[in-house]
Amino acid sequence: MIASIKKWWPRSWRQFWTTLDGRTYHVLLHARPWIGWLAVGMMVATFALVFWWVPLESIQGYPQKIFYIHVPSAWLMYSAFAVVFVASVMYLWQRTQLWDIFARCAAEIGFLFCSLTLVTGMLWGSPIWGKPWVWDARLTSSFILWLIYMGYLLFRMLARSDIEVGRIAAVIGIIGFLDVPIIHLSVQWWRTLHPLPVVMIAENPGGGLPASMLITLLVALTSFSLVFVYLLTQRVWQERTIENLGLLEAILDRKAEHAT
Amino acid sequence: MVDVSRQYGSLFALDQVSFSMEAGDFLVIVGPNGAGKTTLVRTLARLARPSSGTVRLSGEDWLSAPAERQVEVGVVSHATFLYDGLSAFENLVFYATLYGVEDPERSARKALEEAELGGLSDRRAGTLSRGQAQRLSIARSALHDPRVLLLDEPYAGLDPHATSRLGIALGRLRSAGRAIVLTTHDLARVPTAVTHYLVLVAGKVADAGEWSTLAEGELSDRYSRAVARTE
Amino acid sequence: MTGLRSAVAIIAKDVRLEARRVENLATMAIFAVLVVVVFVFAGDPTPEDLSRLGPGALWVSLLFAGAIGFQRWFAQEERNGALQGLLLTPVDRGALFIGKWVGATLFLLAIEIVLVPAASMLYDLNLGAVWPKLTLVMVVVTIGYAALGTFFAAIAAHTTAGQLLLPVLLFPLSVPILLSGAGASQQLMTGDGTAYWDWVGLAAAFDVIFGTVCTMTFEYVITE
Repeated sequence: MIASIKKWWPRSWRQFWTTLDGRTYHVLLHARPWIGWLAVGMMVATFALVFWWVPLESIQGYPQKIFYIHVPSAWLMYSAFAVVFVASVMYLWQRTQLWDIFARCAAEIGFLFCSLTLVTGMLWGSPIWGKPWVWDARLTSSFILWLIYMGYLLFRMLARSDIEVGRIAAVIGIIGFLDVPIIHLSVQWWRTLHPLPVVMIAENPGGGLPASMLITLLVALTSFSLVFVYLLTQRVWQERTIENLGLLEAILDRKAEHAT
Repeated sequence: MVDVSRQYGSLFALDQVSFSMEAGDFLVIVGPNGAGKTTLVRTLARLARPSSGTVRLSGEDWLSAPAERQVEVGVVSHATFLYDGLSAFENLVFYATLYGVEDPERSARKALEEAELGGLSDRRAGTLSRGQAQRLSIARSALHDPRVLLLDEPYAGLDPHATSRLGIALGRLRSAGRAIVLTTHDLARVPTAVTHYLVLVAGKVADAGEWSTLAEGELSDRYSRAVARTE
Repeated sequence: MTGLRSAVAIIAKDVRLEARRVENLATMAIFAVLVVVVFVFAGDPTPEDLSRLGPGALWVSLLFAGAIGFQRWFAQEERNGALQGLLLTPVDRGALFIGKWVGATLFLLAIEIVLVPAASMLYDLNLGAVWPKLTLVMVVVTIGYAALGTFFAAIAAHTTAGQLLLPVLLFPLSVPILLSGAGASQQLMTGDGTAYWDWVGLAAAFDVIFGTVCTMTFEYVITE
């Protein structure tokens, strides 16, 4: 155990950066089964808490419980984008394939959670607003983030094969991430100038969440985060395996060619 | 003094290609389509990076040299890099400015004279014939007096008359301090000023040597044999 | 500073090329006006609605004109492989971006000079008192939009469906300046006035942030 930690520990500051991707991947891969089981357990706990422990919200009733999926999803769509940002920056700096893999897998999963955020947002809002969509600031910002994710993924799909896709995708990721807070701000300003008649109620009118809701929310956040990490590890492992297979194929082809 | 030696395997488009040149050399690289000639030129011009290998210019590593040193290379391709809407003169002035040439207008005028395009200096580049455009492109590539000149299939699309005029223009480009690399798949249109040859087939160097050692028509024999070997 | 010299040379070249084919810019201006016209037919606004709809239609039109323009102004580097020619020179990639960025800004402004008077007439907008402030906000927003537009035109050129991908990438990211422009002009029209400077400030910050980021990262986007 000590030996493997020693092997994992970087030898110098420079080496810290050049091997960060490999070591992160290594740690994630080893922890994957633990993370998986823990995620399952916590999801079950979340389910139990949401339906059997947390009190019913007085004004909104049952639909309010979507809050416990909606908020963690939103947290994850932003976190995933942060991962995309970090992986993109690291890719441009270190130029290792693994960073590119991290970026695109995080983008895929982030897109998933962003879609989930939008859908749960609409499901939650329908009974309250009476219609599926309103131009609420948060929903609007989430939608724009969804479009940015989509653009990023579309670019990767439509890029010509002879270019270094990862490099340009990394730039898109960086610019997108830098833009998100500005988009948020501008949409919020926009909405305060013309406020909506009915605002999404997440907290008590008195301000602040009651303790039981807060605890449930934290449990939900943790379980969703674990799911995210698990999914990311799985995807990255998958992509890495595919790339390694491709490399092996190319090497074998070349050997066959040289033999003749 | 130009001294280049490299090996790369980039998409295995180039497989351990290695050669060296001296200032004043005129190397012709012949090979069939898809042999990797364009990839080689692009790598030498630093438009593309090889997956492995080095290129050295005067003993220094070329691929990681700062961007300002790009001025030591001139490139001609079958694309002319010209702006159709600008006149021949304006095109040259533009590139001269970008290359940091002193007094771009005078250099442009001089280059036009030398390329025998003086009468066309105010003609829009889009109205020039293919041969004239190529000669203009060559003038563009030499504006900044590069030490290395790379020509990638410059004869593409030229009729015999334009070809011979191009050959004359190339001959004038030879100078003591300059190395020239020319790629072509057409053995019949190799300029007479050539000093070395290299046969590139399927990304590998199949044959190379000094031009003077070749007998009449021997190049096409060696070429056919090299191509046949890889099939 | 050779970077500056090169950027100026690029701007001059683009302006010269565009001026020689004025019909290109003119057609784009007509397109922009047409969008504004189409809005009237599609929305069928009452005379009271008109002046409320006007600024919105104006910005939408600019957005679309830009989406088409950025792709065109960058594509002219693709003909005859001129882009490669540029990359072969020692020109700094950031200077190259700035040159194309300023050019795109100038062209969009030229279109606006036609578009804004036309729209103000068609939508019965009373620009008399507010036109200096409107001009300011249009200039600031155009600068930011042109930065992202030029940048993503270069990115979209690497794809098989470049003309389609450009708006898909560009529009969501341009939401802040679009909102700034629309918000500021709304403030001017309805006479409220207080938030106008907030919006202009946001747009200016956007310009600075993304102008810098795009200039610094252009080299990653442009090399093949």
